[in-house]
Amino acid sequence: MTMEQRSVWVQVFVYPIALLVYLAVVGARASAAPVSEISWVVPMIWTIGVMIIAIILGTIATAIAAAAGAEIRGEKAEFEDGDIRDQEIERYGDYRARHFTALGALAVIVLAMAHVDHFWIATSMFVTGTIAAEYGCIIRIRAYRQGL
Amino acid sequence: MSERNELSFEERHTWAGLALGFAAVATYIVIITVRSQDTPISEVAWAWPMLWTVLIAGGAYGAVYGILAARHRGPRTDPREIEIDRFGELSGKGLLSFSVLVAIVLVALDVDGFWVAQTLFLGSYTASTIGTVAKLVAHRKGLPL
Repeated sequence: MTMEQRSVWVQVFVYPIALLVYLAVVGARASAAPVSEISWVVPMIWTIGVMIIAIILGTIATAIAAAAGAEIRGEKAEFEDGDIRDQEIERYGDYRARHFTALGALAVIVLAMAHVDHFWIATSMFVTGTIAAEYGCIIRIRAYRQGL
Repeated sequence: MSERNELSFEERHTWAGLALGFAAVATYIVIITVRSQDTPISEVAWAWPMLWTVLIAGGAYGAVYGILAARHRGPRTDPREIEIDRFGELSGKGLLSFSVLVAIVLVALDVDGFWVAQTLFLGSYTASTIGTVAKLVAHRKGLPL
């Protein structure tokens, strides 16, 4: 497994967890106060920051675990370098996920037209962005297994 | 017309999309600029002009696509053109993601909804135009390696 492939596997778990945590935090705040007064900026920055760190650490941790596992089984740990196939799979995932990003932008424009509170604009952008990333990852995992 | 100069179906409707997209956004910008003469710009009613220009241009593009498709004989695309399409779609992706990021920051800073919408609208228009131009160049000169 290349590092890219490991990272994709970690991301597939990180995005939904991050999304649920963020929604739980702002949801709890939203049930206590009107949405226009909720401070969602700090939770969002934290979520994005923790998400990035979790992806990096998760990738390293799974690589170490794989190496340790191979060592225990008495095999030599192998680290494959990323190659052109990884690149192509990444592009393919991005290509397939791009409609979600565009849809998110469209949803935000419509929400801005309707003059809804900024809280909803930010939340919908975060949700569509995370779903787009998750979808891209699922596409990439399928491509790793079944080929392009 | 010689076979060599004939535009393929994909190339034709890509050109049509480029022209119509430009016309729509130019019209929209003119309408907003004219309206901003009398009102502060963030209070300009931008929603209907944006909807109408996008709908009219989208409808015109759909019509052009339909007419071209109806007049076209033979296969509409080939593997090379599918690759060109994919290459073009990806060229604009970075800018689209960037404008979504800018929009989130604008919302976080509590900037007026007008600016958020303009950022996303012009960002996604520019991103798709970059993609369209990349496709047209690739049709002419081939894909970069």
